[in-house]
Amino acid sequence: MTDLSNIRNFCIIAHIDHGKSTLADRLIEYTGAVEKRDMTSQLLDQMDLEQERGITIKLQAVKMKYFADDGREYLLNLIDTPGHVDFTYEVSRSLAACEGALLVVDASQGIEAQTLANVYLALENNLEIIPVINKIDLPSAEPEKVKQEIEDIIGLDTSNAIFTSAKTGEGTKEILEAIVRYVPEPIGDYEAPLKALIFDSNFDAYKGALSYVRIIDGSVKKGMKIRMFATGKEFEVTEVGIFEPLHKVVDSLKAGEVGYIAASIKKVADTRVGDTITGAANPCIKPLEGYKKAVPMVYCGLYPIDNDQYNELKDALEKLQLNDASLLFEPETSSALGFGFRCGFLGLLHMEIVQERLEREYNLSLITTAPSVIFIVHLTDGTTMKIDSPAQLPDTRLVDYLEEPLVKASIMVPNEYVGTVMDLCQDKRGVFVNMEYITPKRVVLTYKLPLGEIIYDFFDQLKSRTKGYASLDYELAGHERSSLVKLDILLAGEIIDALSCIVHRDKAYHRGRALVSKLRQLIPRQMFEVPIQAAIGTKVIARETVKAMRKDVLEKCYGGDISRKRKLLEKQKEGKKRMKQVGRIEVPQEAFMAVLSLDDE
Amino acid sequence: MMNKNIGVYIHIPFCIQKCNYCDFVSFTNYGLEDKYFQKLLMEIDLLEYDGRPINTIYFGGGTPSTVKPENIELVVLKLKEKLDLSNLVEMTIEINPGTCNNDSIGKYYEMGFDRISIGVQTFDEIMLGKLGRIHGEADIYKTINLAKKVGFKNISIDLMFGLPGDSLERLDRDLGIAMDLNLQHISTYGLIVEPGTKFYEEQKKGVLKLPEEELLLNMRKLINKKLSKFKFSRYEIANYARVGYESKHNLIYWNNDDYYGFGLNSTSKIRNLRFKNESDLNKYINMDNFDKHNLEEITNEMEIEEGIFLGLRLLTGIDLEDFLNRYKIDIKKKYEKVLGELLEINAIIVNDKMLKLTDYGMEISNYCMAKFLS
Repeated sequence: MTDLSNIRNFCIIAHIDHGKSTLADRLIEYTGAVEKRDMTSQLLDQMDLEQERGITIKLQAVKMKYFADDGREYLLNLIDTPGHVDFTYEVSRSLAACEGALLVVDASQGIEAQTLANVYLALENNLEIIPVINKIDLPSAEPEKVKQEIEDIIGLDTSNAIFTSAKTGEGTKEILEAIVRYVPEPIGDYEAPLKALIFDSNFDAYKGALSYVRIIDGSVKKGMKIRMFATGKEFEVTEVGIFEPLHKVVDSLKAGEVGYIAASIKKVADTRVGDTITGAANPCIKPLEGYKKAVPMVYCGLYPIDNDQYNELKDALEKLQLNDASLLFEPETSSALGFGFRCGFLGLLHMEIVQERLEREYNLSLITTAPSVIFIVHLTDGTTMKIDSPAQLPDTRLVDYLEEPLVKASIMVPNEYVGTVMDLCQDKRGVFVNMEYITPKRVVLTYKLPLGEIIYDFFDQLKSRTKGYASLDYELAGHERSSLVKLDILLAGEIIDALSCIVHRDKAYHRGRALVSKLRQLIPRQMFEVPIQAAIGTKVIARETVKAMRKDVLEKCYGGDISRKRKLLEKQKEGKKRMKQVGRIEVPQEAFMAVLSLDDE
Repeated sequence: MMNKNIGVYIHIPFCIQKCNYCDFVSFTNYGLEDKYFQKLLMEIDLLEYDGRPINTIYFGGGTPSTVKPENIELVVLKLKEKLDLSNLVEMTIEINPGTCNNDSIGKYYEMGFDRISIGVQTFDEIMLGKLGRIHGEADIYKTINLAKKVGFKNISIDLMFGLPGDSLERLDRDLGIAMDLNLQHISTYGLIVEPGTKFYEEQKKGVLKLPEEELLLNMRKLINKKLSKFKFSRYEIANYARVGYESKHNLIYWNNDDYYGFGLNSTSKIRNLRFKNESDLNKYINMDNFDKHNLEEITNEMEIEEGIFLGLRLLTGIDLEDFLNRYKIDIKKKYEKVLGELLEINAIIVNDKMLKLTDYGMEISNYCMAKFLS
């Protein structure tokens, strides 16, 4: 029987780019959990997309053996956390599976809003926090200043802070020693009924959906019947194992341990993150606190450019969903785009990732329509309905008013940018809530903002207006009544449903004009003239025209020109492949996202 | 398999000065001329010739008339020695007005050239200056008269339109003069501003005033109308000829036949292989072999597609039966959908015998041709 006093469960909290994955690699390498020759860089981020973008999408866990200076051998379980606001809930669950956290802060960047939000989550979960100041090898590093900042902002005792460079490996041993010393050993009752927290799930083609769990009480082994609290569904355990970091089968998992459970579960939706697993024969009385069903906040339409790819798209979405319970989709029909799917995502990043994986891993060419939030429509007959697409909005005569979702946004920013950030928030229909100096030079601004504005270009604007110094965190803050209208776009006189959007009345004119002008730039000349109009109801508020293509000829074509001519024609043809045929008009992919990239509001 | 015609192209990359619109590979360093010709002769010598008789020879540039006629003659002799010229039907040299005297034009004729192509571009003195040409209007007449005097009976000129500050009146005057000169062939090119040219720089700065699309379309219409009145038939997108004087060499390209290219940056297409020569003059004159390293294989599919997009350049279009015999492709069957789309916008004419572009189709030929690519 494993002695709990030898186990340490911890995670790493860090802002994107602050070096979490590299640091994790150093720890793994140092403890020899993976042979050095098998190390790919950034072991925990296994998907190509994760490595390329430097982000963690899917959680991973790894078990390390460490011989500490006190002469004892410890088992360290590192539970990885995603570093993006879209995945806040996942983060909170992996934190709940740990007793301690490394707070990794870049020695030249300092604390960011996202980090702060996650630190508070960790503190709520009573985690012991070890500050780690990373990238001290950089010339611009100011570790002492950052250390002070951590103390000032979070109020953490930083006397045990560790200065490291994950790049050079400096400080790795100190971190491991600190984990052993400061992170409390797990407490749990072997004899109590099984109680396990699902902090992630993963789909394995042979074993089905795997639950990644932290055993709180009791134990689990092969053959045992388990029950999921959220769904009440029961399964028979076929295998339990640990992460080394590759899966390794073990006889049992006991209180305090971290591992996976396979039980021929067909869908990850049946092993939901945050849910509690217990024994079917001898269940615990209450589940663990904090389970929430993941709710998509952002919706968009996904359509194959080539209608023949509809079934491929459906298969691909189903496969992605096997591993991503928060991805929702249902069939949708657009008069402009044909058959596709309305998909729900946790946030914009989640949306981009799914889209990119569909295109890359499943080789699909897609049209993505502009993202929409969920509006509550109050109808004149007193009933309400929820819509996640402008196309679902009923006839205006039937609509009394609309409500849109709001978020409470915390923006952390150096004080010299306060003015510009306030302007931006104002511009995005924000309502000021609070401003707090967390250090003499750093400010946290709190605003109530429409989610619909956040998912447009808010984040890009924030970054560009503050030279990248601002960071943003937000949480949903209910729906509120708002003066919203549906803005339609017409091409050659036909409303293109996929281009409609719901916007605030005060912004409708400006956005209509900007959108029409952007579309004129994006839509290539066709063989006939294409008028582009923006309209609210029957009232046209903006109009431009894409002139007809009347001349497209290469007059000189002799021996030496033929290859060149061929390439030119191929390019032309290739360009067309990325176009969606809407009626007689060829519309490029980007046009459907144009509303996201309107300049100068 | 039908018998293909075979052409030979010789590139002479020297020019007295670079024109403002030109992005061709050409050099003004005549100090390298003799070395270049040595290498050119060597390249011809090293050809692995399959013995198929040659039908046409074309000396282009650059400006072939700016190098020593003796050097041209060496190449001609080399070609005669190396290749079977018993079926030769046309031998062209490009010259520019004001670059050759009585003596050299006569020599070209004696060497065996029977067709001369003159880079006139325009008869407008001011416009010639804007283009950066080295000749004036009077030079053109002198050159043409000389050519006729020494015996040339097949004279072609190049004319440009869509020039900076251009007008229908200017073009009309050019065409009128050309019609008075009793020529056999006229090539007409709309100006294209290519990267790397002086015009390109001016365009970037916004100081180059080019005609609108509408005017360009009207210019082509004017050319068609005026030339047909004087019995010049349009036989290719940019080319017009009196009956029997179509450029046989250029028809080889458009018929997707075979050609050997010699000299800097020239292209060869022999059966299913295409090859482009070195384009760096210094590298070329220091080459010690002419092994073909960057051969492009023309797949069956490419051959068919090129057969279509080159064939569509011709006013006679594509003979469907010939096409079927040569490529084993029934165009009407394979491209039924594309043909339908093009018919709908009146870009093509198709019947049992042939497929061809309409005048409108010619103006948007890139759009039409791209549709046939896979």
